[in-house]
Amino acid sequence: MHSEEAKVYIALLIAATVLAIILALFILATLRQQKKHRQLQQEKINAEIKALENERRRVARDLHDEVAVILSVAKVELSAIEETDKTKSKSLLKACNYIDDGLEKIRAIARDLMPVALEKKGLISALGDFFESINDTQTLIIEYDLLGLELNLVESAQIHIYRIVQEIIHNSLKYSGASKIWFDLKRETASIAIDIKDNGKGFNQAKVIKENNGLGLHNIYSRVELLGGDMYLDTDEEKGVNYHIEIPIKKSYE
Amino acid sequence: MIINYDLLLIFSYTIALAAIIGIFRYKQILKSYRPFIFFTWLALLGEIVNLLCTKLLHSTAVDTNIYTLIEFGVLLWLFACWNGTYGSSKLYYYLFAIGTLVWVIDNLMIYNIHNENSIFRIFYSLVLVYLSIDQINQLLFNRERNIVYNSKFIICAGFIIYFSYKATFEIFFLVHVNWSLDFYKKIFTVFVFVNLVSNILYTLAVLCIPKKQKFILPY
Amino acid sequence: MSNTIKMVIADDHSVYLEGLHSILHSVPGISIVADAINGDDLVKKAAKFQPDIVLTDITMPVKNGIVATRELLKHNPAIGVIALTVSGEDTNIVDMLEAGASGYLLKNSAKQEIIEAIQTVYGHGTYYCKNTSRQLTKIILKSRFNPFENANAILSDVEVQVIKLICQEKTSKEIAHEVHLSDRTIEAWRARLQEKLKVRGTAGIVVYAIRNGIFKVGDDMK
Repeated sequence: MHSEEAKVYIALLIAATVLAIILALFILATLRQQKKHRQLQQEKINAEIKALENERRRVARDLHDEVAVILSVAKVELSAIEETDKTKSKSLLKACNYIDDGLEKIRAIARDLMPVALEKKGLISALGDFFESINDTQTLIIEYDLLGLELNLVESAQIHIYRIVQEIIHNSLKYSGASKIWFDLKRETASIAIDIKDNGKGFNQAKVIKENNGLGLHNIYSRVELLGGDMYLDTDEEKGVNYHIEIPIKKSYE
Repeated sequence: MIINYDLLLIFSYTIALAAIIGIFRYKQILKSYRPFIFFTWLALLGEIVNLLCTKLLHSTAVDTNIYTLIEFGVLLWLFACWNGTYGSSKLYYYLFAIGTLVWVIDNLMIYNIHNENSIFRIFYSLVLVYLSIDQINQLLFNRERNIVYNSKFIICAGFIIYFSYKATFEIFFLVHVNWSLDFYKKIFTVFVFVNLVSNILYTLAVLCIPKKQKFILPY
Repeated sequence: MSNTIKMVIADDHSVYLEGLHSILHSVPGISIVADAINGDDLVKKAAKFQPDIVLTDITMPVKNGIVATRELLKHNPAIGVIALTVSGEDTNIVDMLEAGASGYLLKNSAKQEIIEAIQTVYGHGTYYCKNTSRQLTKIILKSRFNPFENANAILSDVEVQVIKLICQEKTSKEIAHEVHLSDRTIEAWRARLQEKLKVRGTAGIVVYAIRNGIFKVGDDMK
């Protein structure tokens, strides 16, 4: 090889190495930026969700403490009126029933906003109560087995998981026309696995995401992401819906 | 710095590792990654045919010319599978059509198919590098947590390394710089190392291909 | 009950206290002797006035109804405590029962029911609000609450059968059909059973049945 060729060869090698280094630096810098960006986004979402939950707690408490009590007293007073006139007493009875209905609705709304069992007795009890209340309405059946499960999680993690399950099941109730939902929660050594399946009409994922429809997919996903977990969604038209969610249990959660 | 030619040959066959692992994982992995497995098998086949042509015909021009066109098609198929749902796969059909046109002009019209022709190779290398960079950008902008272990990232990194070197390498042939065989041998040696690196990346990627599609929403 | 029932009522919402006064002041045989606005106030007033019945809210500031109930019963275990709650699914109800309360009412119960509750507890029975939900019954069953420790009710076979059918949430008509008696007889039996078991409210019968092994959960009560 002529000496000129040798020079060219070495020049080329050096040039290639320099380019490779530049490329590597570029990639590293981009990765760091991406990580920072992700963290900022997470913090923002976290703050939003915290504010949301606080507000829900406040509204539920106000509904319970303020509105419900006054309506109850109204009912009590009405029920004490002794009325012999038949039409008038019928009206009174109707009024009392309407107030009772109103109170029932207030209780349902408050329960939906902030299930008291969650704070007092923990996630498993709250989930059990939630499933039972849906089963009692007899619109569809939720099959589940929470026997013997014990989770000791930090309150914020409990509420995220509760909301995830709540949102998924509400979606099923609203959109899927399903008659049955299967719920399964498994505690593994370092993670929790949640499986929720329904036999409804499913939906086309790509279309829904494009059109940014309700389905609170965004809400569900944000919370799963906040917990550092992963979500797998298997669904298509006429195939029902199948959620598999894995949440790692970090030391900070227990 | 003279390296045994046979050793170099062995380095090229490291693609076999990826191809074999691919056979075992073929059924389990996500369908959108299957074209990549196909690509590893194609590459292995290409190397074997190459070897045969060297021994029998003493020229690898025809088979490598044909191989590059097929490789282009398979990899475009891979990108179409990855991006088909949200984007449009029409783009990839157009690219392949243009590519075929370039190939025809290069191998049949301007030059002869019995030469190692460079125009098409430079063209398709640059297209693939662009698609890979675009793919990595997409990964950066979704909420992926650890992108380095992501199979797509590793594959695209392999493509970028391999095809950008290939494009530069082919320029020497295009420009017909008539330097000594020794020089070209040295360039080829570096090429084999680049090939080795990308083969290792492909093997890692095949191991990392996910079985289930994670649900990801863009910001 | 020839004596007047003396009552102390407690709630941190004065609106409700006013409501109770307004409907109970004209009822013969019942007299409210004191109001309390929190648990601490309640314990003090109970000690001072020694009422027969206490009607108390559960969630109150300073001291809640559960702690207050335990304390006032310690001083005077003869007091009958009735819990008041806004929500029928309030799990605090069970805590109240475990603390010694003898019954509970929803705050929107009608005047008639309130009077019934007071009279039942005064007669040493347990009062279960008419609107007890399935869920609440289940929660009560899961708790340690068992007022039947000294119960020795002797029940005939037919009575046992009727109890089982009540547990299966059958209507009076269906029960009448099964045991070959008339509707009205069944209604009368319901009332008599409640007196025998010293409970008031269908939920009471269910709780008794399950606690005493007459009916097993799972026989249609999922």
